[in-house]
This record gives sequence, C-alpha cells and structure tokens, in this order.
Amino acid sequence: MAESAIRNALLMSISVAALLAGCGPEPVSRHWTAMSCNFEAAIHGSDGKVPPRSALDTLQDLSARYDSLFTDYDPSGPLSALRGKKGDTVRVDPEIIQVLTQALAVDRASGGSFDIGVHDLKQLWGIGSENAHVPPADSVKLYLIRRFGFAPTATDTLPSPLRILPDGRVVLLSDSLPIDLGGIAKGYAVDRLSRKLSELGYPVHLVQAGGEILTRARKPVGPWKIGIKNPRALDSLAGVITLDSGMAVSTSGDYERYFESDGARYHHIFDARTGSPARGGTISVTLLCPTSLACDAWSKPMFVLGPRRGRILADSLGLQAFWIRETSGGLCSRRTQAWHGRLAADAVPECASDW
Amino acid sequence: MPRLRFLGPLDILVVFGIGAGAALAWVAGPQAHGSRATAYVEGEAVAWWTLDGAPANDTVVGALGPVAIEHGNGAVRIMASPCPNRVCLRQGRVSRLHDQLVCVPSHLVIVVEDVGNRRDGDLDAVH
Repeated sequence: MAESAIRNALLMSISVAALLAGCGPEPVSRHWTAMSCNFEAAIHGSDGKVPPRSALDTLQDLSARYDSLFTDYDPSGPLSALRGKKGDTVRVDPEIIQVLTQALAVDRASGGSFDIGVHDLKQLWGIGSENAHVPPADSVKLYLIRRFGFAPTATDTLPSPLRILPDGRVVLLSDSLPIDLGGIAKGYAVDRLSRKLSELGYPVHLVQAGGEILTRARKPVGPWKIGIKNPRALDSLAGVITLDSGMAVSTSGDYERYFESDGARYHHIFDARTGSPARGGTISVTLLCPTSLACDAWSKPMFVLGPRRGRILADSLGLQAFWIRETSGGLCSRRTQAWHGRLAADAVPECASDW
Repeated sequence: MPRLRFLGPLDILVVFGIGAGAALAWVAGPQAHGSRATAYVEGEAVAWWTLDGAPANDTVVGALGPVAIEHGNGAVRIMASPCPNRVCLRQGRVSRLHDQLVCVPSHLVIVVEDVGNRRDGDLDAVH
C-alpha cells in the first residue's frame, strides 16, 4: 500500500515537473510601428520604477523620437543637414554623430561594404516600392561615376561621403548626397530602448525592431529562444538559437525586400562597387553580437563579403556568424568557430566549402 | 540486474513517454501554429480573432483608414489596405506563432499568438 502511494506520488511529481518545465510568468509585451518597421518589447517582471505599461509608453515615445531623427524620407528632417555642398561643415544631433561614427568605422573595417550613401541607389532600383525594376546598365554606371567620380572595381577604395571632426561637426565630402542610416539606426534604437527599460527597473526584457533583436539578462525560467526563418521556406525555421545570458541577434537576407525579373531575384542589400544587389552567393546571414547596433551594421557587410572574406573579420570582432547559400542540392551553411553548437533544431547542413 | 523497487516496467514506460512528450514539445514547439491573431494600432490592441474557425472578414481602422483582414482556417492575412505600396498585402497568409503582418503607413501590426500560457517549446521571437 505504502509502496503504491509512493510510486503514484513519484509518477505525479515527474508528470507535473515535465509539464511545467519552462512555464513562467507571462511577459508584458507591446507591438507598434516606427522607423518604417515593426517594434516589439516584452518585459519580464513587474516591479520596476513605473508600471510596465508606462515603461512601454516611454519606449514608444522614444522610438518616435528616433523615427524623426533618422528618417531619410523627410526633406526637412535632421539628416537633411548632411545633404549640402561638398566642403560644407555642418552640425547635427549628437545621437546622429554617434551613429555616423559607428557607420563610418564599419565601412572602413569592411573595406567599403557598408554604404550610408545608398539612398539614391535604392530609388534607382525602386526596391520595396511598386515600381521596382532593373535599371539600364548605363543608369547604374552613371550613378557610380556621379557618386564616386569613377566606376569602381573590386579592389578600389571607395571615398567616404563625410568626415567627422573632433568637435562633433561634420565635413561633407560629396555634393548633395542623401545619407541613409537605415542599415544601422534600428540597431541603435533597440540598444537605447533596452537601456531605457533597464533604467526603469526592468532588466529582463526583449526588444526588437524590424528583425533586430536584443535580449537582456536571464529570464525567470529557461533560455531566450529565437527562431531563424528558413530563407527559402519562410513558414519553417532554419534553426533555433538559445541564449542563456542575453545578446543581440540580426539577420540580413535576400528574402526581406526583393523583386524578381527574368527569373533572377533582386534584393535590397547593395554592393556599393557595382551599384547592384550583392551577388556573392549568400542568401542569408545571421549574427550574434554584444549590441544590436553592431549586429545591425555588420550584418550587411557580412552578407556582401560571405564566409570566405567575412569569417576572419567576424572572429577578430568577436561576432558569431551563420551564412546560408542556395545550391542546386538545396540550402547549406557555413559558420564561424564560435557559432558551432549555438543552433538547436539545426535544419541547414554545412556547405562543403566557403564562397 | 537490480530490480527497481517502486517502478514496474509499465511505470518506466509511462515515465519515458512523459519525457519523450516533453522533449517533443520542446523541439516541435518552434513549428507550432498560433490560435489567435491580435491587431495592434499605435501600440494598442484593437482587435483579436481566433484562427481555428471558418474564414471570415473584419476591418481594422489604421492611421490611413480601414484595413480589411481575413482570418480563419488557421491563418490571417491583409486583404486590402489604403497604404501606398501594398507591401502588407504581399506578405500573404501567416499562421505560425510570432509571425507578423506589418503595415507601417497604417501603424498596424498583426501578431499570431497562442491562447493560454506559454509552453516549453515557445520561442521568444522569430526573425
């Protein structure tokens, strides 16, 4: 009788433990739009300096500020000050300077693979609009010559569009060049929103903007789990990243904004040297980084460079990278050394070689 | 082989079954489909629909005006929108947990969610 009772209790305990594993308090979350993308914040815990809803209100207001600050569509926005004559010296918001400084550093370190002067090129191709099309080759060549003064080759060093002086002023090195910080500003915003949540007493949270995801601290139960979409079957996953201590995650892929023409896919990640969407073989790259700004900025150069040129750079910068390409046999992947073991439910086999 | 004092062969089978079920939930969770879609405008939840019924239509008023939604048969999609580029229409039907439909000009986000508590296999985000 006693044996039976103990056995039943043991079985019951195991069942309850298995069913409850991973269950924890629901986070308080919100979704909204800003900076031309979707934002999400999820807060774990409720004992902050202000109620969770007030904290989320603060985040929404902050994202609206960054929307105004970094927009390249508003001809009278703060970035328009950078669209002056070559040689002009201008002052802009200190937060713009912070982002510009990082953008120029990434561009230099990647050999010119992170271009903040890409706005007109996106207009030329119409990427993301109903008028997306392949422009005539002459138009692209004319754009490159007007932009750089020459048609660059793969080995040319591209001139920087501006220089930042020690006192925070900016010297324009191009005429009437619209500056586009769309490849880095969302990451910056996510970092700042995350910091604000911590200041408000919510250290355990997830913030994301347009796929730039930042997790902070440890959840009450279980690791953070982020799914990576299969770039050729978006309703399935290429794998799941589990993060114990909180990091930033970013993916750049040719499936996010693109159009097809004559059987070819034209996406939104441009190679500044060719004036065309990058065609190095990569269809998707996912990065893990300490900050969202680093992940957002570096995901584009890593897409352009691919694993052959990008891996050593990623290792030297402490970034973990996972590249996917499409072959006649299906998808395959390459990854940095530090990435190995990161992916649960890994659905993309290793490629035989780099590209 | 020493005999387990409290657990017979059937008990061990049950324990393994529970363990295997929990492991399967962890692995299969990422593929899980949502049971509800919630529409957020300007950060406020303005409507939600269960997805397991027959297809039905509804309208959400976004920043630019009404946006037509079709929900049911396990999925949700945007049918018509006053936004200029119709990007949200091209996103098609979504059904998986954490999938989103986004219409930036309308300040509208529709998120596929699950009713009830989070499960072990749930993801915190998908991208």
